[in-house]
Amino acid sequence: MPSLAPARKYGKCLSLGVKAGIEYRVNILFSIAGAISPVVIQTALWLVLYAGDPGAIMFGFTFPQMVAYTVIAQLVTRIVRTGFEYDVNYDIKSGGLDRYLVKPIGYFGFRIFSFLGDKLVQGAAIGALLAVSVVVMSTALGFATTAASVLLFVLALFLALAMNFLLFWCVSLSGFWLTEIGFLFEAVRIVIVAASGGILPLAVFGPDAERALKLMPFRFTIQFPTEVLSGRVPPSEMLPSFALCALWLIALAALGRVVWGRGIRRFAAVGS
Amino acid sequence: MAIIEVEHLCRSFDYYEKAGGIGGSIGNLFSRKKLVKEAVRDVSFSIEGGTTVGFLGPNGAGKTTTLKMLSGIMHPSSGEARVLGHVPWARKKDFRRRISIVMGQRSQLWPDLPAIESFDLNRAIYEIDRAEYRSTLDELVAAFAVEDQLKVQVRRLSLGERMKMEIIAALLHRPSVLFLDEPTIGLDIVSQRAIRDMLRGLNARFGTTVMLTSHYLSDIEDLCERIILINHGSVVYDGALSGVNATLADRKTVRLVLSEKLDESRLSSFPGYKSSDGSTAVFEVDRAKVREFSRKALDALPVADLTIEDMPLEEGIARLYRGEAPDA
Repeated sequence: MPSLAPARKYGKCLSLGVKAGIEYRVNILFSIAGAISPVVIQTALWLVLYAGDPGAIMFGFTFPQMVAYTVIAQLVTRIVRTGFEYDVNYDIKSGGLDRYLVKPIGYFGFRIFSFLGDKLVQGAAIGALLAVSVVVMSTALGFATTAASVLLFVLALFLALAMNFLLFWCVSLSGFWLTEIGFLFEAVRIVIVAASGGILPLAVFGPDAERALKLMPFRFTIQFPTEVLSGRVPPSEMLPSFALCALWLIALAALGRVVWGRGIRRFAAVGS
Repeated sequence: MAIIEVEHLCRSFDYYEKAGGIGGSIGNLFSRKKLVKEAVRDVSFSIEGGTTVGFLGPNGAGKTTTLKMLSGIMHPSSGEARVLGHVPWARKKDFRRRISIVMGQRSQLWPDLPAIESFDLNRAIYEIDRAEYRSTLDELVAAFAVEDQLKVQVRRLSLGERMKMEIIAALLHRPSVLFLDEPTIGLDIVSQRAIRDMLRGLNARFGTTVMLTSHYLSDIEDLCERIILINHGSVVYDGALSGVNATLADRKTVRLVLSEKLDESRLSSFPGYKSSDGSTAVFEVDRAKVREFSRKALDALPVADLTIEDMPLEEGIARLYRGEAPDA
């Protein structure tokens, strides 16, 4: 009979993340508050753009659909946002990585389960807000979703979390070669948020750019789950999209493994 | 049976020379001179199971680098090592379950968690049976008298409290090999003694193999029957602690307490003069000539008291650091 010990080990890491999430609950409030201003600014922008013709369709969106997209995308952005990359960089830079290397636990496993634990708390809080937003938008904007869309959204959101984790995991491992990478994280975050449809729907960038961006992994972090909940993904595209998402997850996990293997050989903890 | 085997282990680090000032910083943007530091050079030794070995050397000698390689944290540049039959840097799970490392200058605990949470996390990580964990923890907590600090965040503990927690965390899974890198650094005498007592008991009861670095010779004298001295990355002495001063056995320290202050020029005219603060003078004298030296000193100097001592261990170690072989 297989041992349950490894599951308990990583379950403990998950519970650590949950505890951290609860302990830093004020942080969740700030995260939600941080979502308000982009929503207000973007809604104001769309109000101006749609003002001349309230029934217009821009980039495939009516005005109510665009506002709904803006709200959902912002909340999804908050849910999938990472922060562990700073811890990874600090562990590499300060030598704190030692504490994981000498113990029978994988550092990747520790980080991803702590991250998911933390996200369980944030996800519950922001998810509740999202549910309220959906109810409000269905009344005010005629937003409609289905039970199937909600279920697929939950799956897409879980994959979005994994995708964002792997993207930032790979970036954070550059700490093995570069000493100061705080700005790199921010630069990458801005590019990913833009390329994932977190600021504007990808259609805004034009058909060619949209086609190219749809093949990249970034849209699976924000736009894809947002569109799944909004019912904007045609049934014929659903399975291929999930399959592409899974392929990118496998590719990024493999890339992370290779980079980790090379980086750890370079690792020279401070002090001699 | 050798539990730790090290052969021709080397580790070098690349670093860059940086000129001072703004000009230097700007110049550095365009060209940097790469330098190589050989932290560990061709180190070889083996350690039998159940022994406690002191691993000594001045700052920057390569002690911590060697321990990091032996605990699997760091890869060597070249050479080989086996600990418990494993290549440490392969970091096999069985190897990691059977070793522990405590570093005085770097915490192995999670600073944001209370110590008890870190212990519980270690229980899960090392897959320790709950009843066994409970009894080991109770025993260690009682030995160190840290029950009141268990629920305090590690970052809020004093250095002494933290070190005790570090050692508890390192011992929960009853490791076969324990690497200790300056575990008593910065601690008061009571805490140092508590840690030494714990380590002595551990070695006696469980036959744990311990490799210890420390700048406090009391740690070494209390715990180690054998020492390995390393300097500039190379082993300069490997043998019994008693052997360090073997060549100094024919030397004695003669300490004179003077009834009046004397100029150094007058004291230094005596053979073997080492140092003086005006009222006390120290001489290093051949054992065979101690009687003659004492008679001359008593006749020629205003001596209020005279003591004759063996050469201190520090002196023997300092000589080895300077590259003077013990049988020189």
